[in-house]
Order: sequence, then structure tokens, then C-alpha cells
Amino acid sequence: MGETIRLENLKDIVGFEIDLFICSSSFEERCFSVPNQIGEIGSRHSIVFFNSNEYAEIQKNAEKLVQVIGQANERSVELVPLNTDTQIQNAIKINDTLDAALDNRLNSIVVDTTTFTHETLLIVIGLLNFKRAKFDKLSVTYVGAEDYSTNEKNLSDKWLSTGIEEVRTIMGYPGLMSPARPNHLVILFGFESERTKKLIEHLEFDMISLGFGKKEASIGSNHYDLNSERHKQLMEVYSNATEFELCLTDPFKAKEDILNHLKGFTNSNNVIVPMNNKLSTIGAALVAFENPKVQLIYAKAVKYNVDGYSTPRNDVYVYQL
Amino acid sequence: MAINQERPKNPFIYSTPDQIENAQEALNLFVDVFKDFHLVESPGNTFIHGARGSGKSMMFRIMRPDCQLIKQEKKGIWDLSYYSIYVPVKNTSLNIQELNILTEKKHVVRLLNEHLMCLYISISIFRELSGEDYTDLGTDFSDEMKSFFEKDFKKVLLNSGYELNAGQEVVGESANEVFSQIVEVLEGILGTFSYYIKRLILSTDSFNYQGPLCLYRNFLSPLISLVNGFSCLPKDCPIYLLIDDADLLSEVQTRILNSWVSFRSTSTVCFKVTTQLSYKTYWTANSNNKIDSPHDYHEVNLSEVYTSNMKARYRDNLKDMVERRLKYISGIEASAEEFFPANLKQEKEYQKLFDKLEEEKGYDYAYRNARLDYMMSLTNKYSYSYAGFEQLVHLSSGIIRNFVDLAFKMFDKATRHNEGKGVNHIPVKIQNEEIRDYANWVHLQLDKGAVDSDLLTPLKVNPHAQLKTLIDSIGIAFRKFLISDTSERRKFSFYFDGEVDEEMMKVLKLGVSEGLFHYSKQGSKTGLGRSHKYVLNRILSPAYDLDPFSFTGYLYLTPKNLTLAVKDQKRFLKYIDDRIAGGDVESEENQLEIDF
Repeated sequence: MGETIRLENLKDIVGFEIDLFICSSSFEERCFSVPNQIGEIGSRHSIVFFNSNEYAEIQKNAEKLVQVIGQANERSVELVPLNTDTQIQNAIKINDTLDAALDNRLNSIVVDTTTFTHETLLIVIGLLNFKRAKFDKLSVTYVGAEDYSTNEKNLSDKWLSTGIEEVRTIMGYPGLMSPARPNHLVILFGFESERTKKLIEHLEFDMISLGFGKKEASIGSNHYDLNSERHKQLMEVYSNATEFELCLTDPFKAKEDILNHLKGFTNSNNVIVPMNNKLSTIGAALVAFENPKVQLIYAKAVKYNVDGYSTPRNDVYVYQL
Repeated sequence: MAINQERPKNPFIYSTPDQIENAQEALNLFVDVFKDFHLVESPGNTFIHGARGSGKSMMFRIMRPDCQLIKQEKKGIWDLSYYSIYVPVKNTSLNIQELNILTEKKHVVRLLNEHLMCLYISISIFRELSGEDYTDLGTDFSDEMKSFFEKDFKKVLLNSGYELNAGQEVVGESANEVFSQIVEVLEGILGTFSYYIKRLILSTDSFNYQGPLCLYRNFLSPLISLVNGFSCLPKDCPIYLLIDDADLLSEVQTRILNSWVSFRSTSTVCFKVTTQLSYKTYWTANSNNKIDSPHDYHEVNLSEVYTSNMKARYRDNLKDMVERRLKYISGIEASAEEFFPANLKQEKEYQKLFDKLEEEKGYDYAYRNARLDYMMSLTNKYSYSYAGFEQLVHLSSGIIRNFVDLAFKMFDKATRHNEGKGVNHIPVKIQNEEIRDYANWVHLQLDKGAVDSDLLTPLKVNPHAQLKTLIDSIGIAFRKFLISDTSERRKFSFYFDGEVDEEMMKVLKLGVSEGLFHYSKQGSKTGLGRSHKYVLNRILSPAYDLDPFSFTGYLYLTPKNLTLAVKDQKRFLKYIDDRIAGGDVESEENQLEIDF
């Protein structure tokens, strides 16, 4: 169903019959890892989303991605600007773009999830799920980070983003929120304990569950150590919270882990906020597909650690949804 | 002072008021503030404004029937002076993104939002009713409710375009079961609606909703009238709908709520609405009318407690709250002053200076200047001790939760220092350390957000960086006033008339949402309109060597000065220096033009 492979071996998995490739530009070097390979493999059509209102480098990288993806052939590459402040317009634009791309039934779609924002990725995956009848095969790729917050030496100082500008529901995952039921917040926790605390305090839900990465199913042992240390700190502060473990390397296993945990909260309004990697984020989407009462939300950061966000690994996870 | 020798439960543990299930427990912790804000419990629509943690939700917790039964010493809800329904608004409960997608079809957007709001409130009503004790009313009441389900409820649903299936007859025997069944029916409608809106994104240009429309006029209002006539509820008094955190409604939803308020049907239903000082609008849904106070509603502002003549009441309420928590949660019998002792040596020296200044220049002068002079007399600023209940009262900036959060950390540290055994007071050293640590941490968080990359080119201004500069500018300005010889050296808030631009407003809002400023409105010094007042969180006192006891002075700034504080700190501080040198007179002449 899925595996991790060397980036240069990606073609062996996705083959040479890609009809549509979708990715997102970023200030991170990681945004090029999979597109570099796609440039060689070739895709009949590609869509590069980018946030046009954050950093000039995101647009520059988007333009580079167009070059990279289209390098080996004369395939069409579409550049689609989004705006992190206008999520509704983004969703409409993404829907229109996908509708145009799926005008004719396609065989194979590949989505590189690596550098999408959590929110945009979930909207894209949600819309593709709605349009399932228009294609045969959907693969997702993810390049993990070798290291995060590279500009901070000490483990305790590492940070990815700060603040919460806004908490909003994600288009396509409204869930069912009944005032007759207690509100249960499920946080798929990464490294961001301060943002997590703010989110918990901001939402004031009746119950909190904190999902942490399994040791044997984390991208790297250094990630696990950091996750684990901050996990302990959080549990000290929120002693009433329920903790559970989830897989961070396989969206299907992550889905099962989350669903298993939710079995204990069948009478609650279950709201998931994915704050870990993109594979577990897709796991959350799969949970909501199976249980539409589950709501997914997004906590928009005020500021990212753009100087040292991450460095890429040399391998890539590939899953077929 | 009695002391519990077992490892005690932290008396300052924070639970959201709606998490406190036990009514007696809620009452034990509650300081009766209704005597200060009697309008909240009186019939009529009321807006209760207050910063996060100022006690709004706790007021609503106490207004709920379980607490009122104990408080009013009544046996059944029918004997209460009012019956309230709690309607919490969360970020994610009503403000669903999909509902705003049909921007071109404003009327449709309004209908869909109103439908969701009416369902949400009606579920809240029957959820509350399903949990009451009707034992004393006997089977007659159960029959009354079965009849309500079969006739009235079905009719109201039908008027909204929803017909119960033939099999959906009343199945419950007791009234509670009937109410639960009603909740299930309404949740079913909500579920169908959720399924519909989830797919709105797929076809934004066509509107094909075929389901029921439960609106205020055809559904909620008649339903509330019917409920009001139930024999289980108090006679001849309206139902109170306690809408908590209404700022979290979308703008469309806010306008809809305002429309309901504007109907003034207060003989049947009263809207009690809390806001965190950022209520989106007072315009109604038809956009031609605004709701006004006192015609449509009364207003209560909890945040004004610290700056108004009620500040002594705030201190007394906090003392009461601390002592209740110590007693009921941790079994500690101690006064607030005993539990949070001040640095006696410091207070003795301060008092000596106070007495001297009082003798030489009178009480007012001593009151305004003794602590400032004492702080400035210290050769090492870190030797000033931020400790003592009185000082903590001021550091909490009128926000009860600020106090509780700090006290929680202090208690936790004191327990660890005491090897897990009970504590009967928080040592001065620990109080001081926690306050300074917290102030430093707040600053550090601001720094993190403010750092912009040297390698990248931001396309939008970083509001965190601007907020950091604003707080620095204001903090340094307050310090400059503190060490000046102006007549009013104690300042902790600034205010302005008129409007600032969108960018500046975003920075101010961020400051409020991060808890660094508390916002309120006050009468303009021109006598026309209202001024916008921002109070710096006093927990930042150690960061700028300020006296947390300061609460008397306001720094008046024009929008231009304020922009300067963000965009050109050097020029802003030069302006402050000039203003101090000129005797702290604010005039249009000494305004600086901004040229960016």
C-alpha cells in the first residue's frame, strides 16, 4: 500500500503514466524534492499552488517549479496563486482548477503533500475525494525533514511557528457539532507545545486528547525525542487530557489509530486539529471521510520559523489513497 | 492558618466554568458579582462585555438552573425566578466556513446561517430540559410533553418544511425521554444540513437546497413561546438564552442575533450575550437598522472594573475567590494576604518613605509617588520584589484568570520546593520569580514572532514584529513618565479618538488576542463619541521596570502618534521626551507628521 524509497527511485513506484501532478511551492527546499523527480518522469499536466501573499521567495520557487517540472518535456504546468487570508476564495479556486484538470477522466494523479499548508492539503484531498469518479488512481508523496528548526541548536529552543492568528473550520470537513454533546478536541501534536497550549486555552473544549507519534512510526528518532519531551511537558500541564499514540509514517495506520481512539468518544463532538506531519494529516482526512460527524480545523500560525524551518531527507513516502 | 499536610490539590487549577459539573462546587468557587451587575439577572436583553478570563462564563454557570435551585433554595425549576438556557459559541460550532461560500447570494447565506443558529439554540433548549428533575410533577407532566411532541412540535417542524416520518411517534414515557427524543430529531435535521453544506463547495453557482428552513419567525420564536407555557417552567417570566462568547459568531450570524434582539420580545425571551470585547457589529440583518442601548439592550462591561470606581470591589472579589479556592479545593484555611505574603522588609521601607512624603507633601502626593520613588531608589532594579496579594491584584490587570494562572504556577513551584508536602503560603521569592519568569516568557514569545528572515522577502507586514515594537514603545514611554517629574507619572494605558488604519487595527487586535492589551471604550475627552482605550497587561511591569500599582494615568495619543510608535520608535520616544519636557501637554501642535 505504501513505502519509503529513495527519491531517485520514485519512478519505479509511480510509473511513467502520470496524468496530473499537484504540488505546492514553499520557502522550504523540500518543495523541490519530488518535483525534481517528476521533471524526469514527466506528467501530462501539473498544477503548482503557491501562497502569493507571504514571501516573495514562495512565488520565485513556484516559478522555478514550473521550470523543474516541465524541463524534460513540453508538458503543461499551471501556476495557481492562493492567499492564506482568503480560504473560501482559495477553496473555490482549487475546485475550479481541479474541475478543469479533470474534464476528461484520468488514470493517475500524484499529489506531493510535502509543502502544502495543512489546510490547503486537506481541501485538495477532500475535493479529490468528492471527484473520485473522475480518476482511477491517486498517489500521495511526502518527503520528511532531516531536521527541523535548524537555526536552533538546543532541542528545547526548536520551534516551527508561533502564535495563532485564527482558528477556523476547514472547507469540506464541517462535521456535526451538536450543543447536546460535549466538545472533544483531538490534537495531532507535533513539536509546537506553545501553540498547542494557546489552542487549548482558546477553544476551551470539554475534553482534550493529545495524539503523539509512535516511536517505531516516527520519521526519525530525533523527531521522536523532541516530540516525546514536549509531549511529557504538555501532559503535565493538561493532566486531565487523554493521550494516545498514532503512526506518523502511514496515513492508513494513522487513520486506524485515530478511529480507535475515537471509539471512546462516540457521544462527543469530535474535532481534530492536525499539527503534525502531512501523512498524519491525511490520516485525519481519512477519518473524516469515514465519519463525517468529525470536524477538522486549522490553527493559522502568526509566524513561521522561515530561517530554519527544515532540511529535506533523501527518501520519500508514497501511498495510494 | 490550617494546613493540609497531604500533597494538596492545586487550589488555582483552572477549569472552564462549563466543565464544573457539580452545581455546589461552582457555587463554592463563585464570588457573587451580581450585586455589582444586577442587570445581568434582570429581565431584558443584556450584553456583557469583558476580556477573556474576566468572569463572564462563570456568571452564566451560576445562572444555570442547577445552581439557581441551590442559590434560591427552591425544590423545582418551576419555582425559580427565571429559567436560563446555556448556549456556548465556540470557534467551530456555528462559524462554519462553508456557510460563507455563497457570497454572491447574500439572502441565501443569511437563511442558511439562521437555520443553523435556530437549530443549535433549539437543541440547547431541549438538552437543558432533558436533564431536569420532574419527579414532583408526576405523570400529568409526562402526558403534557407527549402531547406537545405529537401536536405542537410536529406542527412547528411542518411550518419549517420538515415532516416527521410516520414511524417517528413519541416513544418516551417520561418527559425527560420526550425531550431527549426531540434533541435526536433536531440533531437529525442538523446532520442532513451538515451533509448538504459539505458539498456546497462543489457547486457555488447553483443553489439547490431542498431541506427544511428552521428560521426565527417560523420555528425558534414559536417554539420558545410554547416552551414558555410548559407547566414545569416559572410562570410569567421570559426564558433567558445565555449566548456565551458571541464574538465567535460570523458577521452574518452576529447580524442575525442582533435582529432577534431588536424584536424586543423580552416578555418571552431575553438574550443575555457575552462578548470578549470584539463583537463584530451592531447592525441587524437587514442592514438598515442598528440595535442600540438602552432601547434594545443594556450593557455591562466587566473590564471597566479595574479602571472605574469599582476597582476596590475587584480586589475584594479576588480576595473572596482566593479564600474560597484555598478552602474548598485544597482545605487550606488562610487569608489571601497570608497566603501571598508581601516582602516585609520592602514594605516597611516603602511605608517609611510613604509616611515621610505624606508628612512633607500630603497624602495624595505620597499615594502617587512613594512606590515610584522607592523603586527608583533601588540601585539594583532586580532587588524590587514583585510579591504580596495586593501587588498580585494589580498585576492581574482586572482579569481574574491572569491571577489564577500565575497563582497556579506559584503553588506548583512551592509544592515542589516543599517536596510535595502541603504549603500554607507562597514564599516571596517564588512569587517574585514566577512573575519575572512569566514577564520574560511573554517577551520571548513576542521576539520569536517578530524575527523576520534575512534570507527571505516578506510580502506582508509582520504584525507580530509591529506588536513587539508597539509594546516596547509604550512600555519605554511609560517608564519615561515614571522617572519624570510630571504631575502624572503613573500610566499603564493609552487611548485615542477616531480611527486607525487597517494595518494598525490588526496589530492592536493581535495585542488583545495575545492578552497583552485589554481593550475597552470610554467617553472621548472631547465629549463627542467614544475613545479606544488599551491597557497594557501589568504582568509586563518587570520588563519595563514599571510599578504595577499604577492605574490612574492614561496616555492620550492621536492615531498618528500611535502609528509612529509602531513604525518609528525613535521618533515616537523623542515625541514622548518633548512632551514630558513640555509638561505632558498633548496638543495638535506637537503632533509629528509621519512620512514613510
